[in-house]
Amino acid sequence: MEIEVRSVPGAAIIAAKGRLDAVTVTVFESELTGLLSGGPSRLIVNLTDLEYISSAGLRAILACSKKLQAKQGRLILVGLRGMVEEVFRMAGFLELLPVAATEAEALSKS
Amino acid sequence: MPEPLILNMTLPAELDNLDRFIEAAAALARRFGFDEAKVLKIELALEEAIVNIIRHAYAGAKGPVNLTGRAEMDQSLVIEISDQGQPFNLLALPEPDLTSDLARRPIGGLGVHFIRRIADQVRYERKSDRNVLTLVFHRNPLGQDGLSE
Repeated sequence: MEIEVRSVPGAAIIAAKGRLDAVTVTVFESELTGLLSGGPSRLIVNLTDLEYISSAGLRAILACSKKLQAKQGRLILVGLRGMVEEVFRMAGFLELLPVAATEAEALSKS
Repeated sequence: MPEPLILNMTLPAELDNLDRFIEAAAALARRFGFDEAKVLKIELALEEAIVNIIRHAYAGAKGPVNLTGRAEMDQSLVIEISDQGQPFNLLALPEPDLTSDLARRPIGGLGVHFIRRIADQVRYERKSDRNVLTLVFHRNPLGQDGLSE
């Protein structure tokens, strides 16, 4: 898995590429923790190039969303497709977390 | 002659071996004729099963995981995952909460849910000192690819 982290005005962005599983989730989680410490009000998780995700990745995203919400922030999912989108649907996360098609759309969400 | 559609591998129950199990099962599923979308879902079911063995059946102890796979009547792919850890029936776990709001949504319990949703049949047996989980994937499942409600 490859992870890219960026900052734009008003948001932090993390993009994951490849496979987010029980092994690679440790790297993803530590990047999320690093981003949270910066206190962003909005965290965009871009999964456009993610091929595979398991419950380990969902757990990390859910935990991060809860922490952000407790500080009046929010986590927004971008680029869900294929198997990854289906896993989010099976988990009931599409009704739980805000989803945007693109980063630009996520940035414009209030 | 084509390679027989049979898989049988045993490795220590460690996360470091997860990729080897997944790759072997994915290769078998492809040879069986499943498309990539289906293969990825089978990989997911298998990962969740093996991670549960490592975390719950062995719970920090060491031991083997045996993975077997075979085609049945050319209609189904049967994957069996067994371990020698403490008795652990993941099918006895309650269904996860999929509806409460963000603050109340529990973290965890999704792995078993995915296994149930993806496999067309799931069976747990305790055979002498082993936990045996059998996942069956049909070539032409009734309903929508095993994802129907």
